[in-house]
Amino acid sequence: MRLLIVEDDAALARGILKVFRNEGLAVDHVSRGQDALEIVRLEPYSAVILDLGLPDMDGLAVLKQMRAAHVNVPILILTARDATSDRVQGLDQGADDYLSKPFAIQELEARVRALIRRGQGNPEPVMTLGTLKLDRATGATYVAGELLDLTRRERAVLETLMVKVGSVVPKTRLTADVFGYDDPVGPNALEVYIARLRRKLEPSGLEIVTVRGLGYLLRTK
Amino acid sequence: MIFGITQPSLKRRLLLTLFVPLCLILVALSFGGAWLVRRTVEGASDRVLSGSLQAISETLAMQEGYLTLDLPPSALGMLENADRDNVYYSISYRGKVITGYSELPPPGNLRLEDVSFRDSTFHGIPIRVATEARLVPQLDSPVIVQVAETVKNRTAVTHRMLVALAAGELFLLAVIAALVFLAVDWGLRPLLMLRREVDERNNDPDINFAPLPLATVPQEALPFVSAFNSLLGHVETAFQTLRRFTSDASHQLRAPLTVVRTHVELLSRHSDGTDEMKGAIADIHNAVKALQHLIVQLISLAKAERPHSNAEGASAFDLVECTAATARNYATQALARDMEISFEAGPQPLNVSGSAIFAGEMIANLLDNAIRYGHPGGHITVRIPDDSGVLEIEDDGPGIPPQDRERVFERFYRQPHNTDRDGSGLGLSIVQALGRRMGATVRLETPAHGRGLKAVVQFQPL
Repeated sequence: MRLLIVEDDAALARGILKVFRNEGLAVDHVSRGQDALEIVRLEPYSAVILDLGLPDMDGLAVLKQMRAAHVNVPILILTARDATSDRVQGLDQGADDYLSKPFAIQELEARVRALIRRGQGNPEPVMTLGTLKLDRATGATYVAGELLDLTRRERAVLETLMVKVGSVVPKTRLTADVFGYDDPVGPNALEVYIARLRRKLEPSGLEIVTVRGLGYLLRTK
Repeated sequence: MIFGITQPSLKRRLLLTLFVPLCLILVALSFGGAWLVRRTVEGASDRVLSGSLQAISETLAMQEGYLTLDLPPSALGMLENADRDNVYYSISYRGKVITGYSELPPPGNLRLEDVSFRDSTFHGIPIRVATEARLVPQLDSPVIVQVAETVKNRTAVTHRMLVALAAGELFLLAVIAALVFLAVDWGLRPLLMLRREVDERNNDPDINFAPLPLATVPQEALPFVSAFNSLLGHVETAFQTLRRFTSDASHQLRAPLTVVRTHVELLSRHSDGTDEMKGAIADIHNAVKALQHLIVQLISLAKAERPHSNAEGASAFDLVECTAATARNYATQALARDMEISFEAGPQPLNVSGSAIFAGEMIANLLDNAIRYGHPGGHITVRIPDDSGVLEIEDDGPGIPPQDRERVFERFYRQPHNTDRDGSGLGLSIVQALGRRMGATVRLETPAHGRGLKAVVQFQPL
C-alpha cells in the first residue's frame, strides 16, 4: 500500500512520513501541487494527504484537477483554517475527508486507515475490539475465540455500537437499526436487548455505558 | 449649587452673557426712571404752588396809602391734600415782613415779575418755597410774596412711583430669566439628543461604529459631530485591523504548532529514553495541546466577534437536537475523566432563533468548562426544562463565587485557584460573544443542590 503526502512544510512532512513508515506503508512526499498532479498519475496510491496551503497553487485547485483527470484515489485534506465554508468546498470538490491543523497523529492515522479501506471497497469484514470479533459477512461473533450466542437483534445492536466504538450512539439510531418499521416497539424494548448484551459481553472486558438522555457507548473497561 | 464650578458650562456662559448686560440696562433704567419721576412730581407740585402764590399776589393793591391784600380761601385751599401738608406764607416789603410767618427765610436774589422755587426748612422740617417779587403801583420797591408747603405729599407720590418702577423691573427680570432658561434648554436640546444616541450605543453590547446621523444636528454642532464621526471611522478601522490580526496570527501559529505536536507525539510513542525524558516529553505534549486549545479559542472568539448581518439571528434550529449532538461528542471526554453526563429534555424538537453551528460551539465551551474543572465521579446535567428556549448546564464542580460571575466573562480572566488547569480563559467570552450574535443571554447561577455551577442560556424562542 502506497501513500502520497503533499505538504510544503518539510518538518511536518518528515513527521507524517515517520508515522506511516512506522506502520509499514510505502510513503512518498512532494511539496508542490504540480509535482503532486504528475506523480499521482504514475503511481497507484491507496490514499493522498493533501495540504491546502501549497506554495505554487491552491490545494483546492490541485484537488479539482485530480478529480477532473479521473484520479479516484481517496484524498484527505489538511488545512490550517477550519472555517465551515473551506470544509464544505473541499468535500464538494471531491475530498473524502478533512482534518484541520493541528491534529493528533492518532486521529490522522485512524482517518487514513479508514480512507484506505474505503478505497479498497472493503469496509472491514471482521471487526475486532479487544477479544471481541464480529464477522459482518457471516454474523458470527467470538469472544476470545469462543462463539457467542447472539440473536439477530442483539447482533445488530452490537454491530452498530462497534462501528461507532468510543462514541455515544443515540437511542433512536439503535432502535432504527434493530427494529423494522412494522415491528411493534415498546418504549423499553431496546433496554431489554442492551441488558442481555451486557450479560453476554461480561467476559469480553467490554462494557456498554448508558449515557442518560443521549444513548449508549461501547468501550473497553 | 446649580452648576459645577470647575466644569465649563454652555448654559452658564449663555446666562452670563445675557444677564450681565441685562442687569446693567436695568440699573441705568432705574436711575433714569427715578430722575424722571422726581422731575415730574416736582413739576406738577410746583405748578400748584405757583398757582396758589399768584392767586395771593394778584390781590395786592395800594388803597389810600396802605398796601392791601385780600387772601382768597381758594388760594391756600388748592394746596390741601391727603398727606396733610402744612402751608405757610409771608408778604414782605423792603425786608420787613408785613403779614404771615416771619420764620419763612428771606429769599436771595430775585428777578421781578417771576416765580422762583427753592428747597428750604421750616423749624427743621423740609419745605418747598415759591417766591414772587411783584411791583405794586405807587411803591418804589417790589413786594415779596412767598408761599411754602411741607413735602410729605411730594415724597409719598415719588415713593409710590419708584416702588411701581422697581416692581416692574423685577417682573421684567424674572420673565426674561425664565425665557432665557427655556431658550437655552430648547436650544441645547439637539445636543441632548446626540448624547442619548451615543449613550444608547454604549449600552449596546456590540460596538456600533456607524456614523451619527447628521440630519438633525444643528449647524453649530455639525463640525464637532462630523469630526466625531470621522474618529469613529478611524477607531473602527483600527478595531477591525486588530481583530484581523488576531485571527491571522492565530491561523499562522497553527502550522508550526502542527509540526511540534506531530513530532512530540511521535517521540512519546517511540521514545526509549529515560523516565525523566519521557516526563519532559509528556509535559511538552500537554503544553502543546494547551497552546492549540488557546489558538483555536482565539480564532473562535475572533469569528464570534466579527461584524455580522442581522439575517444571521433570523434563522432557526432545533435546540434539542443541537444540544444532544454536542453533548454526545463531549460524553466521551466526560467518561474518560470518570464523570457522568446526562441529558434531560422533552421528546419534541424545540426550534429557537439562531444558528446551530454557533449554538453548538456555545454548548461545547460550557461542557468543556464543566469537564475541565470538574472532578472524577462528578456529574454534569444538561437540561432543557421547558419550551421557553432555556438551556441549563449544571455541574457539581468547584463552582464560581457570586462576586466573580461577572468577571469570568472577561477575556483571559481566570480564577486564582484555576491557573494550573490548561484552560484558555476564553471559553466564557466566546459563549457570550456567540450568544450576542443570536440574541441569546448567558448567566451563571448556583445549582439547587448548592454545589457547583449552573450556566443558564436563554435562547430566543420563535
